[in-house]
Amino acid sequence: MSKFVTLFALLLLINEWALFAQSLDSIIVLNEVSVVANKDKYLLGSKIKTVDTAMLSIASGKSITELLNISLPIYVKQDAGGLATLRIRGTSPNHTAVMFNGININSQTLGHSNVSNLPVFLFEEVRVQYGSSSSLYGTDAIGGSLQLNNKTEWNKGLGLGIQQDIGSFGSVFTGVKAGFSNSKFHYSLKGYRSLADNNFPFLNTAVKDFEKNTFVKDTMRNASISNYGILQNFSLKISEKLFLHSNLWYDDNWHQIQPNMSTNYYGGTFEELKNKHLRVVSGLKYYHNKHRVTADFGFVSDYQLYQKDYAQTISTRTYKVNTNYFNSQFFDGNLNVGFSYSYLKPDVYSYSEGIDESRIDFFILYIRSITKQLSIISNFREAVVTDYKLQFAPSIGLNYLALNDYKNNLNIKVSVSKSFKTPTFNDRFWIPGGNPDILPEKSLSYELNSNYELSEDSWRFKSNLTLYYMTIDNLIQWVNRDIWRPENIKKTNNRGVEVSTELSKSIYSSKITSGLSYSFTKATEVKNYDDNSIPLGRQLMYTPKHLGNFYVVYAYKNWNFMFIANYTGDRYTESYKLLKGYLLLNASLEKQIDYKGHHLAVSFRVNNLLNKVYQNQYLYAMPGINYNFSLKYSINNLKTKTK
Amino acid sequence: MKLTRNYLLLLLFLAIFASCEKDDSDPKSEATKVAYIVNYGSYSGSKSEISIYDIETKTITNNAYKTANGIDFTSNIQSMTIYNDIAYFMSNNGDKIDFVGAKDLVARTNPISADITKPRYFAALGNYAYITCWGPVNSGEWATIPSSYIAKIDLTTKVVTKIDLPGGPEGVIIINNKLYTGLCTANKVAVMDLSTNVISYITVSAVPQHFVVDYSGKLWVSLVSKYSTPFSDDKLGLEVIDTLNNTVISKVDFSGIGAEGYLHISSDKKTIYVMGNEAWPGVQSTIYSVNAETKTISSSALISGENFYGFNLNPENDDIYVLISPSTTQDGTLKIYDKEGALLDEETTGIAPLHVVFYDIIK
Repeated sequence: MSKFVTLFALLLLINEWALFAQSLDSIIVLNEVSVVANKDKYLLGSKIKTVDTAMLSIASGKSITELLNISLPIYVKQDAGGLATLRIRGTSPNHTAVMFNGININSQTLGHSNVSNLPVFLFEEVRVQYGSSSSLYGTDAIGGSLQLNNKTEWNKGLGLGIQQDIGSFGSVFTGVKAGFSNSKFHYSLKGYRSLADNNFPFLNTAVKDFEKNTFVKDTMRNASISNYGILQNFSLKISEKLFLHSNLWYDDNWHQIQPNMSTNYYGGTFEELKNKHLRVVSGLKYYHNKHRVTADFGFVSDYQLYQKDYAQTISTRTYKVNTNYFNSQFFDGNLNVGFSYSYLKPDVYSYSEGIDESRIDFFILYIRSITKQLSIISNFREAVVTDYKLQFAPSIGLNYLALNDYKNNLNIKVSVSKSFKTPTFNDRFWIPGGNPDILPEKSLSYELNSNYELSEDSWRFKSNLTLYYMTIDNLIQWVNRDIWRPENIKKTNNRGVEVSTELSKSIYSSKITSGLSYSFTKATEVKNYDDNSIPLGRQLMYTPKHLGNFYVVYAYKNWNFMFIANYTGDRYTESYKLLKGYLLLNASLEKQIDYKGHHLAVSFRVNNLLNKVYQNQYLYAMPGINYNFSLKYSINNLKTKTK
Repeated sequence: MKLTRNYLLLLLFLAIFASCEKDDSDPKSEATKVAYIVNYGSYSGSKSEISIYDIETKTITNNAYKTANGIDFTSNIQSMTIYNDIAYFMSNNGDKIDFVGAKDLVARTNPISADITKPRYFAALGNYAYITCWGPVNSGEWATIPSSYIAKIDLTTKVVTKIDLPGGPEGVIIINNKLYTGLCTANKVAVMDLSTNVISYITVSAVPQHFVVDYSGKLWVSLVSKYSTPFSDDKLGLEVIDTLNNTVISKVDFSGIGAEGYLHISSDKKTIYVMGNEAWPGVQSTIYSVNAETKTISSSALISGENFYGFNLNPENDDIYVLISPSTTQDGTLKIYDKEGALLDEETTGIAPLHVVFYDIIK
């Protein structure tokens, strides 16, 4: 309850501040859209994929899990809606940094995020950065990062929007947005409520009726979901050089823990989990000629309640201060130096009392052109964590603009980088089993990335080819030694090829866009520090070698038709059992109506068109064919005059 | 006539050849004495499987359940007991009791799951089976296991009757129409009169787990310390119960006993084998022997190694079958020792081998 009061007080405070700010004189508008200190230029060979707005729109009533399922060839290990984790390039879920407007929101106890608890509705931009990037994002970013961003848009006046979705198996989503901006002030508030009974029918391929010699028909019994959240963005232009922003996100997630198919049919332990998250990022940006200074404050509070057992709660608080100095003309290059300080405080029933931790990061990022086509990028980060040696995360890269004329653009990047993952609190402090001597995981990664774009009058072609080679050492895994405990158990070798192409063509009043992506991932164990090693050279668990994604979007006047196919290849389970790959097809049709500033979009979507029986995770049922109906209404023309 | 004789000789030759071929192609079908191995698997990943070790040919066949039934076994088997040529699997997650043919592992009837929650161990008398069940255990209840019970199953009608027994009953044995079971959350052995279902308790020194009966009819129980119900080292070991008056008459100290308290007895019922520490990195797992007559434990381990997960004795010759499980994601090992501790054979099992059950297929 106290958290709600705090939240309400914060909202009020920021509103008051906003009203005061409105009285300030109008000033020159800078092109300041992102609230995140943009560091893309310092990203080396890394590939960044910004999820297409058409995909964001179609999945706006869903979670990031479903968005990624349809939009990018990334393996998301998931059940039917309650829990999902990212496994980019064969790395573990703990190796993807999940960033909310620039701050890492991964759980400090588990080390990763449940991406099924991240609602698409609250964000204007969702990006996935592939590959090691600890030099930019700090701990966790070994496999890549997922970035959830909000944007500040000035002079949009007053806007309101509402979305109502109804889908199969008791799925109901309601989202509301309200925003106001003039030339110096921006405020938006979004809220959502998402419910799902998730009581889908399925063929239970884990349970055989021995008397009839058939698999049994079953219905999911314990996979309901109930989430809600609000997100507030506030930006203020204090002067033409000074900006203030604040983002506050509160999310409340409850779900029943989906049982495996055997337990679903025969009975067993049915469980539920509740999570509450408060994430705040506030900061100032100051511009002066070639200089830019930013200072951000972050606060993340996570709370978990399992089976309504209030004696066994898990909560953590993280306070973070992050300062950056940018110089766009530093010895003919771009310089970013910075420092961040984090204080982490867990309150976990199974930890000893008095545990806390401080982390300090220093970093220097520098990019400089050597010739007109060639530039060099060098990043250095030094992380200091309580009880650990320094973690040094350098990276160096070259960017070569091989072709850049009015039609063609070919950009080639190469990079080498070192990354790290600080062991989670559970790895170190969980009683029983926590191992205070556990070492950080570390990686060394090489990447070659080429990006080609070709534009003609009515059509556009884009393609991307990425090759990478990465080793991850001291990999942490919880192993059963009578009790479960974490150990630095192995070294892995992850390498692969990623190819994506997109072609779009306009014909009169219609536009067709089609894309094809494929990734090949070979991730194997090359060294095992356990005496009783399992054979080396086997593909790591839950790492499909082949992932593919194909889509066609056809827009004609106010109609949009979308067809999406996703292929997930064979995977091995924890115990090297083979899970067969599967192809899923989805289609949607949308009609948009615009009238005097009123915008209405009605869409109908069919998922799993082929009614495929498949398992993403061994023994966990997934829904067959299902439907979603969505109605979106917004009004954006309520412009107010600026003084 | 000659033609007929040659023809008959040819037939005889073919018959001999054919029978030889059959022997070569399918030696498993000739298995008479087997050790079934329950591979527990992992709770969250792959589930249990059965391996068959042919004692005479010294060969192992893994994934025998799937071979027999064409489907993965999708629960975790806590224990397996063969009674009247039916093998019973007590399994969790999903919670059920399977009935499969002890000769071929084929499931011909569907498992029982109604009123079966967290089944543990099995004992039977006549047409009734008695299965210790923990029932639903909420978070925070592991130190009490308050909803546990004995599931009494009519083996003909498959009707289950629940008899409440709080405290987490584990190992179970029936002697003189009385059921003895060790409670996981207290230093008490529960005794249930099978005629009246009245339950009484025997106080022992630590957490009682499993039972054997020695040459003199005395009941031995293993006493351990559990994470949620700890006891000091001096309380651990084995105690001897006189079942005539249900009193503890003797104790053998064994501070190194494993938390599961596995114990088995030799065919002459005079030597008890008990497992020391289970899997823990850098810690030796052990099997000690106890002389049931002198009530003394061996001064050193008969067998030691790492990651012992379970064991049993072949009733024919007292060979010791030790199961080794390095983790729940990789295959384990069966090591067979003679009763002096000399290694006889070693085979790769399925994941996390936990129990060995001996069966004579053509008895």
